[in-house]
Amino acid sequence: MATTEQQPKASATEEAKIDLFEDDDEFEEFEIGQEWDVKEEGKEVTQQWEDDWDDDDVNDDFSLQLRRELEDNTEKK
Amino acid sequence: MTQDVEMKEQQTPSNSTSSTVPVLHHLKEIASLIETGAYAREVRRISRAVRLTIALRKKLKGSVISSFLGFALSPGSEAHQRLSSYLSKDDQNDMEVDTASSGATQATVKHSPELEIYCYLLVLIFLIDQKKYNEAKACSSASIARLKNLNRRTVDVLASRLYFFYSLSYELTGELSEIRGDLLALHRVATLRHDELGQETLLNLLLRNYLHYNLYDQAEKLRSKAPRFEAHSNQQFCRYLFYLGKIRTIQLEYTDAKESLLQAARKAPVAALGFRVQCNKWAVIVRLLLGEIPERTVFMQKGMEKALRPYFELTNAVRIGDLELFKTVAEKFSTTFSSDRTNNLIVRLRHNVIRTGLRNISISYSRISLADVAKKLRLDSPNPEKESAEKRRVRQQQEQELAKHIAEEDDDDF
Repeated sequence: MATTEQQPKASATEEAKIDLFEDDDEFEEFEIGQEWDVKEEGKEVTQQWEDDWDDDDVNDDFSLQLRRELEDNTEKK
Repeated sequence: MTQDVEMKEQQTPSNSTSSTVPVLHHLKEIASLIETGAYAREVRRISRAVRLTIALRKKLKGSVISSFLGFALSPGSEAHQRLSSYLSKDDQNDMEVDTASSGATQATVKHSPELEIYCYLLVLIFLIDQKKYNEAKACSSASIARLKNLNRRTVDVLASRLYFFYSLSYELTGELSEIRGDLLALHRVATLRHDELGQETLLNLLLRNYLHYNLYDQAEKLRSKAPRFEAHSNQQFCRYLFYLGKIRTIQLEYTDAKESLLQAARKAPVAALGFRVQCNKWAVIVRLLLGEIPERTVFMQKGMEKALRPYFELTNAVRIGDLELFKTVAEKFSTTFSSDRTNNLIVRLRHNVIRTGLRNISISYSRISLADVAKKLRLDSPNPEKESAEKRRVRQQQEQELAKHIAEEDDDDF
């Protein structure tokens, strides 16, 4: 809740024309029992998150086994 | 523009040594704003007064409110006595801070019903922030009773906020069902009076009430029968879209649900993090039920990574088609899924996991060449020259049969 004061003020100027009732609503009923990422996500964390799902599979057991298998096969030939 | 400037001016004095006097001063300014708005019948001023109050919320102290009540209400009046009773004795003793000035101004101020209702709202917000939920329930119930006799547009704005905090105080004590009848009655009255903001607010509170107890059919019945109106508040509309999305999900209308949930998340203010997280959680499950895999970027939205982690891992299990992993994830985060009310939906997803797994196997098998299959089954002979004609004939026959068999299997659709 501590960080919410900044943003509503900024959006007030934009949305003042559209809606009279914007700033007084913090949707607090949806905050009941929630845990938040209070600090900003560091760079080391974002590196772990790649854009593509398939990138995740690169290092699992099966992929490593498969890679080894393929390398063996090319050696034999 | 002017609102921002005024708010900045109000913030700086409060940074100085004594914070009690400036806050009281702001409240008095808000009071005059309400009085002006009431007599000029200007709803805008009342809305602005509420906005300014919310901005002051964290700075409110019992003593300040006590002083303000002495200023805004006639001492000895029912409202003054009742509202003062909700505040602790300590708060009331500090009233000496401003008795001098309040005495002078009291005689000249004519109190509007709007100001009285505002006092109820101010005290209610304070009680909830102080976690004095029993007093909050009593205060909100009293305000609802007081509202019954008033039918003014300028009161509607204050009333809709009172309805909200009324419901919240009962929700925080786990007693939402107790007020359902009252909310329904209020909704009927708001409809009759064409109080559209009240209608919007109360419909959402009722939907929330029903959904809290998993009464999806009743929620939909009310929603479909409620008279249509033009949406006034973006934030009420967001809530409506979210509740509608949940209803549609339970009804197995996944496409409509997805649209509603995503729209709710998009339209919500960025600061409404808890709300946006809830919309995203349900949207992820609905998309999985539709056979879609949400993009990873969905789970990386700012401030949501931790909250969406269980859904990220679940999506991964569905994507791979790994039933074992799926079971593990479902158990690992069962508390979260339970409190999110998505656990029953996740049970429906098991079917999707199996289907994905089978599809992956089928695709994998179709990529293996017949020659490799034959090799694996050792249908080739190490010394083809020494092979007798008889053996060759048998071998070729076997290969043909195998090829035919595989070809027939390929035709089967899952």
